[in-house]
Amino acid sequence: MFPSLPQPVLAELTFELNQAFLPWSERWIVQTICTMLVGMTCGLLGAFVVLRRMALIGDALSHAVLPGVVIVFILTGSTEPIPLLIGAVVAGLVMTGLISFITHTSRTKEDSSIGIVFTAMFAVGIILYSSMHSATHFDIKCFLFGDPLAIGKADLWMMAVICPAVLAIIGLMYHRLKMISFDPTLAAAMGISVVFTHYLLMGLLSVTIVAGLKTTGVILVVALVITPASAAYQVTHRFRTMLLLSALFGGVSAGLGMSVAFVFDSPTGPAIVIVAALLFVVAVLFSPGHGWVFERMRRLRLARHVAEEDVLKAVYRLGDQPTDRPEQIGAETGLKIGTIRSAIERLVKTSMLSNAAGSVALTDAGRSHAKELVRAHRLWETYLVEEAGVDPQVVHDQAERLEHAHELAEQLDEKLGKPETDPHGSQIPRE
Amino acid sequence: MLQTSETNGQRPGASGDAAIRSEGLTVAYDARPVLRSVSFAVRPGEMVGIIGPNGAGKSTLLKCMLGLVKSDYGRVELFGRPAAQAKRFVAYVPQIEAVDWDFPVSVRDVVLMGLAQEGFLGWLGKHDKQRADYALEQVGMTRFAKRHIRQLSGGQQRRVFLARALCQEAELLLLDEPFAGVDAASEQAIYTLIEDIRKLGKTVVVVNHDLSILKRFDRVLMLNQRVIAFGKPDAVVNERTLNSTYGGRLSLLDMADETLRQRTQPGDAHLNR
Repeated sequence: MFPSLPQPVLAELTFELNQAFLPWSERWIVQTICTMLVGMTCGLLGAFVVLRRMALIGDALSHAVLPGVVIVFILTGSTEPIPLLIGAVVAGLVMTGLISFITHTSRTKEDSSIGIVFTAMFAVGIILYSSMHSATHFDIKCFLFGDPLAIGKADLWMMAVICPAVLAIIGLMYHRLKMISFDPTLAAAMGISVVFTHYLLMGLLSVTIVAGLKTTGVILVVALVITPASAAYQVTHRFRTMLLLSALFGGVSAGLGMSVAFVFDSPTGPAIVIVAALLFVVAVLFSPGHGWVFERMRRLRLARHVAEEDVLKAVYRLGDQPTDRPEQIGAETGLKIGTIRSAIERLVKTSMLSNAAGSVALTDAGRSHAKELVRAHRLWETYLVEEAGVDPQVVHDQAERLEHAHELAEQLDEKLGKPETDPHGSQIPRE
Repeated sequence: MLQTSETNGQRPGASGDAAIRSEGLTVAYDARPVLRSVSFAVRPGEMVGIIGPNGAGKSTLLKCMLGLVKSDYGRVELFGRPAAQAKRFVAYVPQIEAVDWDFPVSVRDVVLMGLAQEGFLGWLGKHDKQRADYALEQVGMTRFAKRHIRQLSGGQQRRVFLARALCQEAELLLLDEPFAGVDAASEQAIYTLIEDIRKLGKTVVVVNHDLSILKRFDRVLMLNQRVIAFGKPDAVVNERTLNSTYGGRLSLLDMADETLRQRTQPGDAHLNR
């Protein structure tokens, strides 16, 4: 249970955490609720970490608290939460101070400073730990990888205080935090203490991370900070919505992760992190407005629209076509037969084409739309040759693309002085 | 034409004070001088342009006026007080590149930030919110109040930040490159807004990397680490001043500084070539 002296602690990657999970027992519920509170708090604070581009600091913080925790443990010999939290906060603030000191006084850039400081502090923590008496109750494996089995009622009580406290502070400081995160220069120019807010955020983050260590461990806790917030960032343009979603995603990841781990009998920390990562993937794919799926659909819709207009124009030019054998339309438009068939289907549905006696023909609406397209095409050709100096030989292909912007035809016509014919001598149809 | 929504009861300084007085201002980063002994004075209600190439120290000068950068020598006074104690009287419009346009805030949110000092920890009352809405109206952006800042054109984005500066009701307005990368129409619109602000008796300082629109200002300060010229545009702008502002040649002063710097940091010299 307690690793003896300088064992290679980092190599102990075996997980035997889950045997003691009793189905939906009171203990499991306590652990899940506690983990969800951690997830929510981390998510909420994570929104600021993500917006202020401090992701690396979030990771660093989780490591740098180790010496603080170990020193407090050596001094007091207890694992009471309050002293450990104080140790963690002090260590977190020392790290923050050291990083800004190094960044400001040397030519070292911030990311490197972060890397230097947190690894050094983590190393100090490990050395202090290994110098402790072996029969102590400090489990470094739990620190590194988390151990939900170690979560008890005391931890739940602690989170039941920390979570509302963080919420209250963030709520109170809401406008300040928003402003400083968005425009630190203006804040500083107004005499608002940017530095104080930075340290406040770091302090809150240290507390939450330490409280959350038992759920995922040092190595994965940063996922609870960054991943839910990044998912929320994908989904919304509103600051308040982002904070709420971040907290929600954090809580949901924790709750779902615990359940998944229980069902599949897998380690809980990684399960939570994977659920959070999946949420993030879903957010990237399905985010309204700029998600990947949305973008795809928009392109597909445009491609369909273009195919419909091309088919319409082909029928206009070629006259009625047999419904079953649209090969001639294919030759005219260069579209695949399947694409043409489905375009015809949609055009019939929107009454642009009629489909009777095995052949498709233009309706009145279809004819006037096709005419508009031809008109736009020829106007664009004229414009490209006269105004943009494009070679008349190659102008057709460009106009073929531009004609779908037929809404601009009137403006084009005005600008060109209402020409009679296009560069190839064909007449430009008028209404 | 703009109007102040209320009279700002605390118009600073005695009538004789200059809006900006810089005396021998010298700032160095990493022992490399950015501003050398910069001295000039701007009268209240003046519209002054600061021009100079990249690296001329324009932004540093602005930051000195905002009280964000400490001078190594000399000082900047605003309305007779040291810049660091005059923060209430200054509003600032940042460079477009300095803004994170993906940050989840609406147009109205940004304008409200101009009032951050009004309420306790930035919590604002109804009256303050009306001030923000009024500022939005003045720049003609009321329609866009709920939009995300990314969904605006370049000209509209500047107008939002102008509205923010407006509702700060400051006496001195500092604008960092407000005309960079906007089309001619927006440039004119922004210029008109700035001029309207000046008509309210405010002092306006605009930093720009070229001369273009600043020719219409009361005075221009041609800056390249030191003051090349300061005065009415048609009086000070000529081939000689333009050459010494934009000409890339190292002056003897630069060479002297470089030599001195290498002497003071012998161990570092090989890194700084």
